[in-house]
Amino acid sequence: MSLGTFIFLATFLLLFFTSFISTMHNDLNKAISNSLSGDIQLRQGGTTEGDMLSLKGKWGQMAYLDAKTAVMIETLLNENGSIESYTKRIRNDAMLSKGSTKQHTMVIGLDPNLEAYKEAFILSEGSYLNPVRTNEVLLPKNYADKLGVKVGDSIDLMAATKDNQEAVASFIVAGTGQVDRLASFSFYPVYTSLQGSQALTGFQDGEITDFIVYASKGKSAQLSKDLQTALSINGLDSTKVKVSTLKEMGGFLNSIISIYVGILYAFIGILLVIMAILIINLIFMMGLERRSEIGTLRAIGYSRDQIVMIFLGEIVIITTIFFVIGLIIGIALILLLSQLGIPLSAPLDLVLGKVFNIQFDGSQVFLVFIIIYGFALVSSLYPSIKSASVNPAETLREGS
Amino acid sequence: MSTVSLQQVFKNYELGKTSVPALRGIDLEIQEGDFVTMAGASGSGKSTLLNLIGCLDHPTTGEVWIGDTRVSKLDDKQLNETRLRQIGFVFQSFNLIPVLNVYENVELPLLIMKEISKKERKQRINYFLKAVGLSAFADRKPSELSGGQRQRVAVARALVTKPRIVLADEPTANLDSKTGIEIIDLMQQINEHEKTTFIFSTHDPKVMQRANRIFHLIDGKIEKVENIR
Ligand SMILES: Nc1ncnc2c1ncn2[C@@H]1O[C@H](COP(=O)(O)OP(=O)(O)O)[C@@H](O)[C@H]1O
Ligand SMILES: [Mg+2]
Repeated sequence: MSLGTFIFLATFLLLFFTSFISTMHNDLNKAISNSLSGDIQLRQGGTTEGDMLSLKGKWGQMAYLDAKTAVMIETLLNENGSIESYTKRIRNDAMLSKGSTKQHTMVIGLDPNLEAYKEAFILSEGSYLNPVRTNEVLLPKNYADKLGVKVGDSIDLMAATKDNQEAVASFIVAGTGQVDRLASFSFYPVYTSLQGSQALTGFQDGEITDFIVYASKGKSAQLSKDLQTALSINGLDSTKVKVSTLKEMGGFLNSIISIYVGILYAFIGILLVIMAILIINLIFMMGLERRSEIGTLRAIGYSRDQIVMIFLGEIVIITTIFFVIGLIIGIALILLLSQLGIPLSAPLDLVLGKVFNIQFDGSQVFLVFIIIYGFALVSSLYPSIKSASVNPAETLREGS
Repeated sequence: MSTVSLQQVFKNYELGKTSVPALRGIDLEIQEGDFVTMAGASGSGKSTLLNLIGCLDHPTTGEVWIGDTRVSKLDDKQLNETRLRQIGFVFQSFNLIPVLNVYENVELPLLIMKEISKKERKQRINYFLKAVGLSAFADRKPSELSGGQRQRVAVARALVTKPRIVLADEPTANLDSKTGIEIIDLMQQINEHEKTTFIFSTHDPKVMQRANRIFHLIDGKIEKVENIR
């Protein structure tokens, strides 16, 4: 394989990988800030961030806070001065059903008097949940369209209760709109009242899945610690109630991404090592092939360094030509893939969605440029010096 | 003053444990503007001698002087400079760069002489291409030329820096005898016209007769100096 081909491939792949990584990070950051609106989550102990973020609820093994615990937590929350507001929630996997059309979703039951949820649901038709009417739902616009329902229509939700019984309940569509979800989750949530969710989970009054707490500005880390202390004083240690900050939730997501980013970086590393070995080899071969020419140049007065510069000049020209080709084709492919989307499988799809739309990130071009040129020049330096260090008296003797 | 002067020069090549004596006590003086030849059979030490004069190698013992500089006192950078400015080389196998055309081959040494302007570079190249009769061939690649033409390119390349000395190691060895004589005649014309000192080597009796002086080399020693003119 020629140097040009390899520069082309390396440019192309580097551009692709760096764009992939940067898109992943972007999506992830969006995911975290959009979906976990709130700073701290309190939920049943013994559950992981993954359990909570996964929208694939485990049927029949629902984790929740019992009424007594929930009351105790609420008392503590009410006493704490660093809390802006909080909301109780009941989350459950469910199936939307209208006629024969079905759609998998997650129902989030909350207290309609606490308005924080409105930030995550931009209403396009109808109205937000009416605190008095407990059987209303807010539907994502695309689900409403898919199921053929409008504001005011009724719609069924089916779910498994905490005792693993099948539950069906009928709801009225109060409004439709755009939902902020965990970036590209495979499905969107549906909002209803706590009572509405009780029908689907079999929860008694006071039983909930989690609290979402909004801290005063800059207080979230301290608040999390304070809450943990207060909870354990009241006999609710981390095995009973788990307190997670948004940062920790994000950290979990990040750790999923990090594995993939790590693999990609390892791949890039291997690619660069191969590139370096290849360049070193090629230049050595080039040097051998041109041994007698180099000897001639040395004889007529060229210094070793001047010959090294000739070599490097050639490398720069070849690198530039094939860098540009790799760049053009790489950008074209990324733009194409950003239209088509790349299907992802578990657990990446949890974080990034079923289809990943890679975005071209112009700022990566400079990084790729530096890496490619840096590697090309650094790895050609030693073999160039070696090749230029021939003894002209020797090459002349070989030549005749 | 002599342009080239060698005093008690010995050169041994070390081959593992054995030492091959290539030159065994050379003393010689070559005057400015001379046209001389090192004549001798293969293995007599002609190339070794020219390499020492050309600053491509160091003697085992003894001194080589180019004008009033003692070659053994020069560092690498100065050796490069001496080869570039004082000496022109013509090789047995022409040693042109195949990817460059005739003009570019002649241009090669001038590219690293920073003090020579583009304009002067062009003038010099054209002047010497004309001198060797290759003005019409400037755009040709070496592969499109005959052996004699290639060696003319090499002569032009050696002269273009206006060196004091041109060293030509068996410049006719890869040419038929008629073409070989033509090359020597060309060098002689230039020697007369430009007053450049020429030192060439040969084992061909007809070729050596063209020189002003013949240094007869046998087994690394100068056996006889023959003055022709
Ligand atoms: N690099 C070398 N290593 C070992 N022996 C050499 C080397 N160069 C020349 N010789 C030996 O030195 C002697 C003189 O060689 P050379 O100067 O090439 O003679 P000529 O050019 O007259 O044929 C020969 O015996 C040759 O084998
Ligand atoms: Mg020889």
